[in-house]
Amino acid sequence: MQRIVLLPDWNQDPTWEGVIGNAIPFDAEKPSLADVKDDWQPELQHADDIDQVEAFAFPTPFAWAEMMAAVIRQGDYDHLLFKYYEQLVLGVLLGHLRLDVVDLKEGEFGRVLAGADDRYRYFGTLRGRGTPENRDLEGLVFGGTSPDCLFWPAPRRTEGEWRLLREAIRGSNQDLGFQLLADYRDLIASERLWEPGRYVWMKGLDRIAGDRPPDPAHNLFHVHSRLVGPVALDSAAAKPFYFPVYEKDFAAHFLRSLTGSLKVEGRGIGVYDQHRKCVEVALPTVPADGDLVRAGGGVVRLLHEPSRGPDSGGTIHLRDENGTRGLFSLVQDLRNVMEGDVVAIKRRPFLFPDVFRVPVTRLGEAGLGTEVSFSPQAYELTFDPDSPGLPLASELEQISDRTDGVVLSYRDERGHLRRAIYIDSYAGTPVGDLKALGLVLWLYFVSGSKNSEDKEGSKFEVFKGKLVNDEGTPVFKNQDVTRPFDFNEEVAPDLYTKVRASGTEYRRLATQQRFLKAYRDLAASDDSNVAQLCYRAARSFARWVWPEWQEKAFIENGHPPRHTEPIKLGNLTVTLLKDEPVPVGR
Amino acid sequence: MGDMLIAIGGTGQHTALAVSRLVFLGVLPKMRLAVIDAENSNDLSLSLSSFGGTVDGRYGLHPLDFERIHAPFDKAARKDPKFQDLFLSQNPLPLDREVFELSFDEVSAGILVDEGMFGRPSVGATIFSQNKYTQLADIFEGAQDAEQIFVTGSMVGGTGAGIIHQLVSALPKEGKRIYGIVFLRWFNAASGGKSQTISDMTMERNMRYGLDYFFKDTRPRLKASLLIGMPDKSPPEITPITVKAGELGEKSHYFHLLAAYGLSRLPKISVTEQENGSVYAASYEDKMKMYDEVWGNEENAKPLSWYVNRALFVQAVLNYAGSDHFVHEVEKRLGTVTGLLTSPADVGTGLHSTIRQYKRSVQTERLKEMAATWRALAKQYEFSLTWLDKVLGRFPDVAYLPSYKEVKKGGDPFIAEVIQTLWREPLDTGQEVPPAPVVARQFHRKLVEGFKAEGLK
Repeated sequence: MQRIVLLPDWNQDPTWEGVIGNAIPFDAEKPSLADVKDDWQPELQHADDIDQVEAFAFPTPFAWAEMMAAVIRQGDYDHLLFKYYEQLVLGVLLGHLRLDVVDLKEGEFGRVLAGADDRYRYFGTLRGRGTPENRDLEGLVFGGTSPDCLFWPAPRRTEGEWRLLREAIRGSNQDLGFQLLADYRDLIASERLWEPGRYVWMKGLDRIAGDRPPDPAHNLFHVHSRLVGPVALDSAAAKPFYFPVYEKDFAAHFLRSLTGSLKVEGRGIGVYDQHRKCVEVALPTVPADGDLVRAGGGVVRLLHEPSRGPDSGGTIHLRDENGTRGLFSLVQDLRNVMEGDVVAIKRRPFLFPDVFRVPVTRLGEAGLGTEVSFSPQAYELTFDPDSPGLPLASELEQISDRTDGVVLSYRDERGHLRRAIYIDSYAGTPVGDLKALGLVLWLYFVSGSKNSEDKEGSKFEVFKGKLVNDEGTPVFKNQDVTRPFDFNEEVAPDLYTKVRASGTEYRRLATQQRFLKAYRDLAASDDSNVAQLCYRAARSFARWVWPEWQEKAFIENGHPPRHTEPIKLGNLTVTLLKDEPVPVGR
Repeated sequence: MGDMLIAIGGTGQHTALAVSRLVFLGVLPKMRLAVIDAENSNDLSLSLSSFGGTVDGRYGLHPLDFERIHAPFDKAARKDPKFQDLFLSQNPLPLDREVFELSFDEVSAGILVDEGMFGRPSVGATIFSQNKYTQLADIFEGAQDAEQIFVTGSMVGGTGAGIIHQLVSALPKEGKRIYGIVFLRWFNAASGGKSQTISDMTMERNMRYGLDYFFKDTRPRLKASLLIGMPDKSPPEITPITVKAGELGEKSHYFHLLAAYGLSRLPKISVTEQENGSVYAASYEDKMKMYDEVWGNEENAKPLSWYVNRALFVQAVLNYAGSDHFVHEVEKRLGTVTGLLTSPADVGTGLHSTIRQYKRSVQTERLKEMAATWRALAKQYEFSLTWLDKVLGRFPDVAYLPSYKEVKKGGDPFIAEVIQTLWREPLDTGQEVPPAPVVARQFHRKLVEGFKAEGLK
């Protein structure tokens, strides 16, 4: 008699001796569903109606999530559930569905579900958002979230209700949704986390995004989307993912809102412009065994476009100042439990809520703490939806035609180590910090000149230990602030306006050769960071004046400065250099 | 720390019955048994609980450490509940209602779970999840003390199919080895029955969906698992049984013996192969070859046929010892009946002197209690051996060992000699002789331990 294996749909001879043998070995290091014979896969029946879908055959309370996963895993993209899946994905991407995260442990049945699989504890419901055009969508729950497949469709929604969602999606610019998804995919892929062959939800999204290429700057994601969730998803990231929703100018609006006032209220932070609350930052209360991050802490909702108040001053309230609470201290609890530094946030923004993602991707390191600062002109960039935001210090290590800046490390008056970042340009967007400082140094350098052809106008002088312009206005801000070299608000606009125009009017070759040599020699003899910064600023100025400058063609040359003048900026000493002696009588 | 078997649903109960018999026969070590099934009063359940009607709490004891069949939910709490009634009170929280409706279609929500899970594993899984630490808490407490835990049931119905996976994921893992013995499609459902809740199509579907989930979620949590199912071209002697609605008794099948064999073999093979999570299967060539398979632990590794011979031998002795004739013979030696006082050696000197330790006034009564215990044990042998004959075919004459051949050939006179030999030594009872059924079982153990394949002569 022939030996056979006692299993259904098994056509191989036994490969072992004796009665019981290893039929399907398992490698825990590389678990694979490829072990499962095709004949043992669920046979997904064609369904015209969701009532015909046999999800209940899965041995789990999350049977519909399993069913959705099986459909994607088998690549049955004509299946009714995948049609609904596409609607759920697009519905969320385009803002027709709201993803609300709830703690299942707050309910009796919820506790049963959370007890069955803790990954589901913080559970997302996909609820319709009614608009004047789609009023009937409001409140209808179309789906839930799953770690395997991301979304699953609600079994009790009727075809008529799905039609409402479909029509709402069709009424939107679906291209934006697809592009946002393509950008999202690319950002994840760039971190080597996109594995559609391994993770079901990635396979599903991959199918929907198709072969659409990403925008190289991922502009839709960084500038025009807000993140919802998070959803604990199976991946190599070991952190929950946030999912993007298209919202035009969201990042700029959120940052602009932070020039308003922030208040702790209920389960979050309310951000107010001069008229009303415009932004809500979720900070839910969680029980002792809860998880503030997974509960949705830090997710931002824009209620209204913030107004541009005359007294807002354009200052983003990141830190507590003058008795006003800033964002950092209000989200400190969340920051404490959220792992990841600025580099991680910038590289993997999809793993962080908007309260961190937007400031960091737009403000660089300054978006996560007070240790790093930029000039107010640089901060202004972040309100520009078309700008790339602000760089990380590490991004300035490689200077290019498109990115140029300097990081000044220093200790403030309290001895805290800080970094001030001065940017001339970032990713092609001009700022002009270094040029402006170079111009200031130049205007002091030539202030002793009696050149009748001088076309530069104002000359700067040091008066009572402060650098002032020819109207006697201090050039630098009151130096009790922690950031050195920020310009006085009365002076700054003029300086930045000038350096954003042509600099050829400042051409004085021989003097500029001496100017550069003077600051180079200072930097060589004084290894302080300030001297290095001044030399970089001088070079930046010269490059601006001589755009045709070739590195070896411009010779730093000439006699040393005739006069040096130290000034104090905070607890830093800055040595200013002058080409000619101060005229007698001054 | 011993072993534990957790049996789920009807198939689980069948396996538990098989294991109970094999434990009784000494083929498997004694272990704790926990059973989960909505059905706890049908013929199958009663057969398991009473070990074929032999357990009376005094003379006949269950071979496993077993208390009761756990219903997966508290049946007394609500009469004829629908599935959703178990989770949603009259005024449920909006969160609960919303999430429930997101998780279950209306048909599932309306199932009358008192009657079963209607082939919907998601229903069984959810009920289990709700009650695992309340209604079923005993099981988890028992599991804490077990070193090896075997979980068995089928993947084709509603109860086992729904619960197995959730149970495995909820069991304590630290310091445990958990094994799964899982049945795929192995019986046919009769068509057209009045209250038939499950069909062949249901079973095929549930098996596939269950396997999908098993391979993804359950397998990695198991040290090893054994899958058993009916091959597409089954040999004539291993055909699927047909189960009709309302037929709720035991359906003896070779597969249940195979499952029990898994309890013996899986730990050995999987520990040797060191591939946690591997899936094992059974090969088949000839039923009778199972008699040649080696069971037992290393010190006690013997083929099944050896255990059967021992059981036949012991059963024959117990049949004799439980007979009125033997009781009368013992009475005569005790002097409690008139007549010649003959040598106590004829009834086993040890037995005789042990009975003599009771007060004289109760010696006859205690003797009769012992005989009742031996008769109960003999019945348990009968219950176990007839089942083996059913699932493997009649034990072949050629497999009889000399010891049993002697008994068979020699009849009562020879058995009397066996008793003289094996019950010669008195029990070490200490100052107070134990109750008669305990003494009877100790003499039973002497028979078991005194068995020699080559016979007494």
